Amino acid sequence: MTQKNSKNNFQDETEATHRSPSSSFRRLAGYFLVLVSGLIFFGWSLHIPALITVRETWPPVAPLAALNFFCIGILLVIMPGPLQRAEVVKEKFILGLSVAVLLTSAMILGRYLLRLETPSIDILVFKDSAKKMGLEYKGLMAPATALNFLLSSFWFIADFAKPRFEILKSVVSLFVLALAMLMLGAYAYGASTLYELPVFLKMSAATATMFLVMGLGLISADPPFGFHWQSPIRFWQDKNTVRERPLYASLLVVFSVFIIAGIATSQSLNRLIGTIQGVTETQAHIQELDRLMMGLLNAESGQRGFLLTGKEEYLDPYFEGVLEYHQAREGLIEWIHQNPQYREPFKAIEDSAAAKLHELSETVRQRRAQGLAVANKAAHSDVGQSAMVNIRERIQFIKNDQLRLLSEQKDENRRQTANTISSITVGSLLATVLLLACLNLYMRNSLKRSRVEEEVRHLNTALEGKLHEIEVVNKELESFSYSVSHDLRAPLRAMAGFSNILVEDYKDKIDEAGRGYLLRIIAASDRMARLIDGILDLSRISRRQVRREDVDLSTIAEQVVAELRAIEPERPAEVLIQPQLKVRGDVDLIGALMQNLLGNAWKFTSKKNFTRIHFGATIKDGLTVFFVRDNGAGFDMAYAEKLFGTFQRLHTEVDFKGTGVGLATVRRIAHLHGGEVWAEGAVNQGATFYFTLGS
Amino acid sequence: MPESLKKSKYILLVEDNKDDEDLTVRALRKGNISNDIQVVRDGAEALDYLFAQGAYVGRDVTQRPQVVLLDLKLPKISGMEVLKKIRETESTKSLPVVILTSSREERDLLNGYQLGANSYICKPVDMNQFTVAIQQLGLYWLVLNETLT
Repeated sequence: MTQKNSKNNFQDETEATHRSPSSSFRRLAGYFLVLVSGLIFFGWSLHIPALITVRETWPPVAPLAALNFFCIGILLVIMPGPLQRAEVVKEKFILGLSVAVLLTSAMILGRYLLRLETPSIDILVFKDSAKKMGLEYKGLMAPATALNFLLSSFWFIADFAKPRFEILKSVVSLFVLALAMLMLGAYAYGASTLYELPVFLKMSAATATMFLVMGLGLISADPPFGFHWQSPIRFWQDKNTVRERPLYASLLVVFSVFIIAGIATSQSLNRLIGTIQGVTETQAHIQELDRLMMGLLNAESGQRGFLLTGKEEYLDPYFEGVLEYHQAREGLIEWIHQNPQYREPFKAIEDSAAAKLHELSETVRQRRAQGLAVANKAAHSDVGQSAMVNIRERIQFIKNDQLRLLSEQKDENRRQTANTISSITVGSLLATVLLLACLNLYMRNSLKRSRVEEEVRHLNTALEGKLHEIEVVNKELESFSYSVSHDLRAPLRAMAGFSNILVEDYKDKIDEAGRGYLLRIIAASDRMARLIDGILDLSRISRRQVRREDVDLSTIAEQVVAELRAIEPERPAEVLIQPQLKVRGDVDLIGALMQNLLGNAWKFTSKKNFTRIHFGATIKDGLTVFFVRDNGAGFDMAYAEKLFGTFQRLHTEVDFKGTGVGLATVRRIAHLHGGEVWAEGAVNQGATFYFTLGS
Repeated sequence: MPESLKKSKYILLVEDNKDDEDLTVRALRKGNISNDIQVVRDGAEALDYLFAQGAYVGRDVTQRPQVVLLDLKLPKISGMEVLKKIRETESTKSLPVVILTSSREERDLLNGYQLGANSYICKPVDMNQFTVAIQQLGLYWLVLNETLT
């Protein structure tokens, strides 16, 4: 019984020392997950889109994912802290939940890997709900989500097999966290390409947030992480101590680096896309300008063919050219309008082109109406030629300007490409390096922790071994005292008994000396019987479990003194008992203690003319010290320590009867209460016995 | 008092120690208790006697002792087991059993009473105390106490 109790106490202590900030954050994260996943379920059941996704265009949290978060939330809340072991029932429950998460996520992942088209259970259950809410996404868990859950379930299962899978656990929790951060970053910068990549297929922003909380929860479930800041450098230098603090800060740094690299990359990507668009537009404008020129040239050559041959089919290129010119002009107008520097030359182009086209159509008309000669004459006028020269010059002017711009844009483009590549490379390299550093730190801590845990386990085993030893010794002691109780007394009784028979029945055959010897045998047996009883009492006290209750010492003292007085009613004695002395302890044991001390006082004052006994209390160093003082035989202070040893006596049996067990018992009782006992005295000056009974 | 009835008021003493047996018998006789004393040496013999089996086959079981004085530490079958068997058996259920032992262990007391002992006497080493205890025991159980017949 005593052993069992002390083990429990030990466990309580371990639990108390590990109720650290990190484990309370772990529980907090657990409660958060349970609450949010509950809300999501609510949302699915009652068709409230606001509860299942952050934005309606973003993917919602899958019902199965919510269920898994619920399980993990519970796990985070109930799991035992480091160095602790859960009760068997709880252990089974934890394992059950972990396996449930493992199975569901493995099922979803398997479905993706085998490219099965069968819908997942949660979709079947909540199909109508999704339809009613008009959701674009069907609520299927993303592969990345399933992967994260699978890894998390590994984490919890590995937690059972501690301490072997420390590294796996650390990698898993960092991976879960990193994936969640990446997803959140993707949402934050609108990089839809990232969160819709096949691998990450539509992981919900809310899911990512919950993974973030979960990852932090997992990490704070391990002692190396905590909320308190401590320099990582000092941590690195420290060889053996486990600190909870430094990694949290390091992880925040990694997170910030992720964010900054993300911002930089997204900005340079935007600029890159801008320059690419510029290049494309400029190239398009140059092309249109070429088409404009080509249209006019085609129209001119068609007209010439017609003039020469008079055949209508030669007019086809003419019409096509005219159409091409108009199309190109239409395409350019908007752009020219936005660029004032081109307005004037373009106006000139338009005017000249109008003149040229007018001349062309005039000559075509004349060829049809008046024949080749008239038309030829008109064609040979200088008007058309000068217009074409004009147009060519203007177009070339604009084109040259655009070509210059294009080359500038291409330079810019190259620069931006280099920028983007470097920001991605640097950012991811930096983040990787930091993450690796973090991992290294984490693993170092894990190793240290395993070492410390190993030591604790070792000490625990040693302690358990010792407890077992004590148990065995106690058992032995018990059976020893049991057989002492039974077997040692019987022969004594025979010795005393038969001696007695000799004295009584054979008195005429035994002389006075023989009778004296027989009486001494009887006395010795009697004394030995008392010794045996003393030892048994002492061992019984040692094996006893100490109760704690209110004990009134003054009342006990009065009762004991009354009994003593009853034995010797005529003895002149003054006994002073301080009233209202109370203490918490075992009433039976304290009764035995008082019996011994007052009994001793009574015994050792028996040779005085007048007996004075005083029981009282003083305060020493904030502790109540009780004392029993007498004016009896006293003792030599040189032997003060010997007083409390078993069978140690400072007086002869002739002077004062005794076994030498009484004060040993007193000391044993004081120790059992966490107290102490000591004595002061002088030969024939009386003695004072002091005792404390714990706080 | 008819002779047969007086004869039937005997003591069953279960005691393995010859010294203790002699001292007990002497104390009883000194206290003028002249009833027959049947002595058995161990727990097995005690049961054989009570249930007329083994060496005691054919004994008239209706001749039950007035009181059984039972030592606890016995060879073969312990006193506690004998007591248990007596209380379990219908015919001996109400037989007065007095535990007479050297043991002052609390657990023996507790066990003894829980198993239905009528009395528990710790044999004192002091001969005077012992004699007084045994005489009072005999007086009480053989003279004063009324038992079922």
